[in-house]
Amino acid sequence: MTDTSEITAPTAPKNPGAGSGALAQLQTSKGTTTIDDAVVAKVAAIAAREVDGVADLGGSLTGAISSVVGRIRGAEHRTSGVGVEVGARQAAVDMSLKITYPSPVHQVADAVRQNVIDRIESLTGLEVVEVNIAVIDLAFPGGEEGDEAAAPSGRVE
Amino acid sequence: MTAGESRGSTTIAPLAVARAVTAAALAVPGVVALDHGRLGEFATHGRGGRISGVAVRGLGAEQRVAVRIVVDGTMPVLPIADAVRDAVAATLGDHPGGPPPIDVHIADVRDAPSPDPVPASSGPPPTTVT
Repeated sequence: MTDTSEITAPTAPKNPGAGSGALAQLQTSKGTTTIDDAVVAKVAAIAAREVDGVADLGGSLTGAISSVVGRIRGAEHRTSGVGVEVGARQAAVDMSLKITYPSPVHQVADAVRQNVIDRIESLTGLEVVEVNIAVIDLAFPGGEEGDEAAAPSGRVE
Repeated sequence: MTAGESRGSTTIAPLAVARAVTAAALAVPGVVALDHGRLGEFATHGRGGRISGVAVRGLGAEQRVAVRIVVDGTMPVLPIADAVRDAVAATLGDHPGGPPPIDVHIADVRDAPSPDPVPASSGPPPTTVT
C-alpha cells in the first residue's frame, strides 16, 4: 500500500516571503508558470537605464543612500525607483527617473515608456497597460553626485 | 514517488527527485541559477541533505514539483519556463501515470548570461547546501 494518507493534499507551493504577492500566472495541464514581480521590475529598470538621457532611477531614498544600497545589491539591478503591479495577463509600471540635463524631458520619458513596454512585452509576454513616469530630478553631468566614471572635477588635468 | 506493483512497490525519495529536477533545470539554456526564496525556505529536505530551489511535495499520483528559476534577462522568459518544464518532465518521464505537474516560478532575472551552462554531470549539484 502506498502511504499517501499521511500526505496532505498538495496545495500550491507555499513560499512565504517570496515576491510580494501578485503574480503573473499561466496555467497549463502540466503545471503553472509564474513570474515574480521582481522580474518585471528588473526588466523595466534595465530597459529604462538603456535610454540615453536617463541618469538614474530615483527612489524614495536620497542619492547617497541609494548608491550605497545599490553598491551592496548590484548597481545594475537597482529597482528602487520602480513599482510594478502584475496581474494574470497584464502589468502596470510606475517609475521615477532622474534625467540628464539638458536632455528633452518629454522625449526621454516617451523613449523610456516605449522601451519598457517593448521589453516587458517581449520578454515576459505580459501586456503593459501603462507606464507612469515621474521625473523627479535632473542630473548634471560631472556633478557632485554623478557616476564613479565621471572625471575628477578639477579645473585642469 | 511510489509505483504500485503486484509484488511490491518502488518509492523514490523526494530528495532524489529534487536532485534530478535541479540537474535538468540548470541544463536548460537561459537558466542562470535556481532560487531558494528570500529566506532560503524554498527547498526539499530529506535524509542526506537538502536541495534548494526545488520543492517536491506528495507521493505517487499526488506528487507535484515546483521549481524557482533565475533566468537570463536578455531572453524571453516564458519559453525558458516551458523548456524547463519539458526538461524536468523528460527527466521524470518514468513516473507512474506520466510526469507530475511541474510549477515553474521565474523568481529573478540576471543581466549577464552565464558563460556556459552548469555541467549537469555526476556529483552533487551546486545548489546543494549542507
